[in-house]
Formats: sequence, structure tokens, C-alpha cells
Amino acid sequence: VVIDIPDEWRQRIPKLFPQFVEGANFEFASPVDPNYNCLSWALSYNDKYLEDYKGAYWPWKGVPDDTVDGWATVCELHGFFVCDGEHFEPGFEKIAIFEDAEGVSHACRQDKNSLWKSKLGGWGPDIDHADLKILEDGYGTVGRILKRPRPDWNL
Amino acid sequence: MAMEMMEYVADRFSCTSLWIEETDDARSVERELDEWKVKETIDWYELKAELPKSKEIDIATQFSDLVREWKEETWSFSSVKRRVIHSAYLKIIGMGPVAIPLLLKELRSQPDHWFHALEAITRQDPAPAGANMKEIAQAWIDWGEKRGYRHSR
Repeated sequence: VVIDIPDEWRQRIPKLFPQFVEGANFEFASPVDPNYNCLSWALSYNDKYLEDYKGAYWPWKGVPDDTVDGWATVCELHGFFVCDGEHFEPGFEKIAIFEDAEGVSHACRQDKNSLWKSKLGGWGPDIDHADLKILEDGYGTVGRILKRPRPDWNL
Repeated sequence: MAMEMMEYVADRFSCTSLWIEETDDARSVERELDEWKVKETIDWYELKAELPKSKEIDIATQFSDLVREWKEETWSFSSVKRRVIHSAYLKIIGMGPVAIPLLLKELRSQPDHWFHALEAITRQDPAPAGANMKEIAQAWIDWGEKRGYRHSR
């Protein structure tokens, strides 16, 4: 399947993520789409932009939308619980939440083949990547790992 | 306009001394030619016809520079709130109504979170309640077309 990624995205992504090598440690997995963000995609939504903001979706009153704790709480409300490592565990689905100097910066999930699935930015494409390290240039460090038994609908 | 226009005219006519007078019923521009040290009155209307085009180019360039800076520095953020407080975005809002056609054109050609800026400048909100990002973008494009913004096409 050929995924149409606009040139502007192909040019800007390597500037922020110099470790990215298409075909080696990451692949584009979807076209650009403005209707969901990285936290949405980590929770397997592609029709909701999860943020407490106009045009977005954040029904969890009192839960901050800009902290690692807030995002972890939303993950817990979806059946995830905090765990130690990012290593692949068959039968479990994991989410990694990143943070930088400004606060929470990114979230991604691990699929059944151990690949991590990330939505880049609010309007960017999805990518599949082999590890979490290649995101550190742009998103800082992993602040929390959570997991849940892999649901039947997300094998 | 005074400073920008003075600089433009001084550069355009290669002179160092320049007066622009603007009153309710008369406008005149006088310059002192460096070489001959004589005063000359320039046809204001001829100058005026030249100025808007030049200023329009300046505004478009300024806008596209700010858009480029904003996108380069914030594209990876998933938080809209974090993106719209970036200094380049705030400068675009600060450009005021002249930025509206440029924002609408940008929204159509390379959609992004321009709703906050449009809302801040126009103090309007054409998007229906509960609309998602794509629907809000379309609502603003429709808003621009209804008002005849040529650049929104």
C-alpha cells in the first residue's frame, strides 16, 4: 500500500527526528489526518482529538490534559495500569507516555508485533517504529509505561 | 503608516530628507533631492498606487515567514493549546485583519490550527457546536467565501 505523505511532512520530520530512517526503523502507516492526536491513537481512536479544547474531546472533568499524570489517568480509565518496562509482552498492549521540559509531549502504543504506533503532531501522519529511542530527539524521555491485557478487538 | 511609508519613499526616491503631510482634504509628499538640494513635490496619487502593492508583498512575506517558523517549531505538538501560544502564532494574530485572507488561503491549501487566530482577529465563530477539526476548517473556509475573500479560493 502506497501512503501519500505530502512533501512538507517528508521534509520536516527528519529535521526533528534525525534518527528516523524510513524503511529501516520506521514506516509511514497512514496519511496525514487532523481529527485525532497521539494520545487518541495510543488509545486506538482515530476519530477523536483528545484535548480539552475547541474541536476536541475531553470528557474527563478534573483530569489535566497537559500532564503525564493526566494522560496516565485517561489510560487507566481505558483499562491500562502502570508497569515497569517497554519490552514486548505477548498478550499485553503497552502505552508509552513521553515528557519534555514543557510537560507531556507524546504517547504511543505497542502492537501485537512489538512495533510502536505513533501519530506525529496534531495534523501529521501515523508511523510504525521499532523502538522508543528514535522519538527522544523530538519528544524527550519516557515518563510512564502502562499496559493492559490485549483486547480481542485489537489483536 | 508613517514610519514604514517614510522608509519606503526615502528608499524609493533615494533621498534623505522627506516630508509627508496628510490632512483631511490634502496629501502631499515632498522630498529634498540630495544632489541638487531642491525641494520637489511628488504626485501623491501616483505614489499611493505604488505603495499598496509593495506593502501587500511585505505583509504576505511577513505572514509566510511566521507560518513557516510556527510550523517548523510546533508541528510535532499534539496539544493545540501549546501550539497557539507560540510567539510566531501570536504575531500572526497581531497582524490583525490583513491576515484574514492569508489565513483562509493557508487553511485551504495546507490546513492547520488557524481557527484560534481567525476567531481572535474576527471575534466570530462560524463553526457549529461539537464540530471536529475538519468541520471547523470547512466552516471558516465557507465563512471567507461568503464574505468575498478572494484569497480564500
